[in-house]
Amino acid sequence: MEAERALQGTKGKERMEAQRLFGLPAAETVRDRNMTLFSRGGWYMSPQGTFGGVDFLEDMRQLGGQDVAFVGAPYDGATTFRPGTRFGPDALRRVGASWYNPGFGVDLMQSLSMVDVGNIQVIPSNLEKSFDQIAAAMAYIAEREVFPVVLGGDHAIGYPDVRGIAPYIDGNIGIIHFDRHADISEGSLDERMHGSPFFHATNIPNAPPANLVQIGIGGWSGPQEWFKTSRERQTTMMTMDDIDRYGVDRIVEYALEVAWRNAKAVWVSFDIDSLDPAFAPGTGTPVAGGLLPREAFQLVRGIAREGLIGMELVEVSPPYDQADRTAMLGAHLIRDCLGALVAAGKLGTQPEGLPERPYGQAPAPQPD
Amino acid sequence: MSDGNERLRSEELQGSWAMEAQELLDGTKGKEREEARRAFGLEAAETIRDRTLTLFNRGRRMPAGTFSGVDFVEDMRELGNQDVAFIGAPYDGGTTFRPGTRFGPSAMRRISSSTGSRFNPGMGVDLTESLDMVDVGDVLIIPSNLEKSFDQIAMAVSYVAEREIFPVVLGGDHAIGYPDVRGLAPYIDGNIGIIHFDRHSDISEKSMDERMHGSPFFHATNIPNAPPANLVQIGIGGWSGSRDGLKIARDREATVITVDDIDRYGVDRIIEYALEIVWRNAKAVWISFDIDVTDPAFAPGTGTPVPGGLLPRELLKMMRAFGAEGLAGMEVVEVSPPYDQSDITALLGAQAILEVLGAMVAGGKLGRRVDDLPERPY
Repeated sequence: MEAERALQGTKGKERMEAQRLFGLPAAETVRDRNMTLFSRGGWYMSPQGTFGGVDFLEDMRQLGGQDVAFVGAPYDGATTFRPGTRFGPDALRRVGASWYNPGFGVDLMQSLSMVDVGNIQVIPSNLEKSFDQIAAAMAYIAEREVFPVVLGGDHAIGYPDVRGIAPYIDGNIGIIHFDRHADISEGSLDERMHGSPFFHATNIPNAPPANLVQIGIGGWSGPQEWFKTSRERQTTMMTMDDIDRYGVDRIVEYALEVAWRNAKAVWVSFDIDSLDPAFAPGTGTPVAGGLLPREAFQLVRGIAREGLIGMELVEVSPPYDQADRTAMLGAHLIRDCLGALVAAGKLGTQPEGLPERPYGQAPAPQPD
Repeated sequence: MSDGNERLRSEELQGSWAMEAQELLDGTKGKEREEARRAFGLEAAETIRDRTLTLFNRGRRMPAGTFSGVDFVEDMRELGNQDVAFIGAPYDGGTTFRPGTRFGPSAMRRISSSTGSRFNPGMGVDLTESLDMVDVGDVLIIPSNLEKSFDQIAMAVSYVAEREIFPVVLGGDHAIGYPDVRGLAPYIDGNIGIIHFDRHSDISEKSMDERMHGSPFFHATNIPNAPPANLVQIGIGGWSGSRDGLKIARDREATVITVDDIDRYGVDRIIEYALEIVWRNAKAVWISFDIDVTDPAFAPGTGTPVPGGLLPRELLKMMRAFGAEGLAGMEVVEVSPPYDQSDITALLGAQAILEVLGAMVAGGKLGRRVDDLPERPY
């Protein structure tokens, strides 16, 4: 104890000062004013690498002009069963994948300028403070008109994500939500846990429930309350059986019609547990009987072709994963979404001079 | 019915039907069960806004099984006259690295009721004969709110302490160390000494803006009758510590014993010294056992492992010695099953509990002793 008193050093302090500037001031509800909005230099959840090896933007004051920002929200305080999604952002960053997709005919490194802004500084044991941080971080990115790809984290972040961007949309936001769970109760265990994001998101004035489309819901999980609220708020719900019966193309078409009705923008919330646990074992609340990867890719590509305002990929829980397969699937879904946006000319630079496609990938006519 | 090419309509979705059908499902059975359970679980702490939540969890996801297979007390209004109560505190919002300790209570219950017994030949104790033990299930935790969880835990420990039952708290992360003492302290008529086994000093005021698992002893030793002069920390060391923490330990004049100290002076002298300090002007002693005090080879299933910790033999010898002098309660924290290997971490935690209880019985400090034991060789 005496030796600690004698240890000298200014290096630590100097570094901390610089990082405080890079990371921006924290939300008001965070009492320790040494903490920042974007985590810079703390030992908690420092990102390991960047998504797909893109550049890391250390100084957040320099955000602006890029097409895409990958942002981690390593929060898992709102899980009701297995925690571990706090490691989701790192796992999604860590898995290898290239930026070229032959079927799309895109090289995302060519078509998009992308940065990784690291992780939002969440407060692990306080949900509302974490929400304040996440919403402030999302607002910062939206204000600079950079497309956010949020790496979750558990699904509770679905609410502050929309809360952050909503003020920057000049009109309504439609939400297309992939999940086995409707996640639309007011609260559970006295707080706005991961079963609640869409109750609160659709309370935001310009994110009306009429524009909420939920795809994949079903199985033996979730309270009856979800279905009561959905009925009262008149959201649109498509179960797994609906996908089986009507097929991906008709589901996509109807989802786009509903989400875009009187809306200026559409946000995608993708919960990895919408896929069957065989494909996505690494998740906190798995439910048997979900999507196949090929269905999920087709759905995401279809949804993205009209353009999006941003997306989140949530509930990847590495401690339960097997050889990073769940993270890999998540990373591929993100790339599919970005690839579809580029191929449809909705983001970045569309490749020119490509031969005519034999089928698919063409943007659909705009809904009336 | 639409044909393959027409646009879908809302009425064609099973999802739409599901929403309508939900309203028509009967739910009386569910409601009745909920009401009964609410009475069993007692009223929650005041800071809990949803008044259908209880103090002890009697609802969803209750533990399957009990510690060492003892009886479960379903109706908490019936608690009283038992010697020992096992209480689960499945909180892991206070972890700063790997979460998972919320499964610690279940893992320790499961392993202790699947294998091992309550008879220890070397100690000459059979806990079944000497103690009346019950499991009261888990405190109802608010996973995403640390302070509310603290209120629940403190109130639950108070409920047990008020009935003069020895509490064994199954953690949960080490943040619970503070509410555990906060709940116990009002029922001790004098000072409480704390023996804290850990690689981490856990005595900073806050981290990440909240009283996380690096903070319990800052706040515990702010409690008037739990003075830092009676705090003895054993096992501290390695590349894990907080400089702030050590500074506070110095300022508050707590006692810090490192692993090197144990190597140099030997377990027996350390025990003697620790007992002298912890009992000085104190009426009772509480043990806070962080499983990560043992080397990660023995306790891989933990959130923040630090190489070079104690061996189980050293640890258990010390815990038996402390138990033999009498205790007011104990906690075992930081068992994190998702990181465990073959349940060995949970097993060590469970075994430490049984050894402490056995030592208390053998020392005549709890329960009933079996007399007429032969003289011990040593």
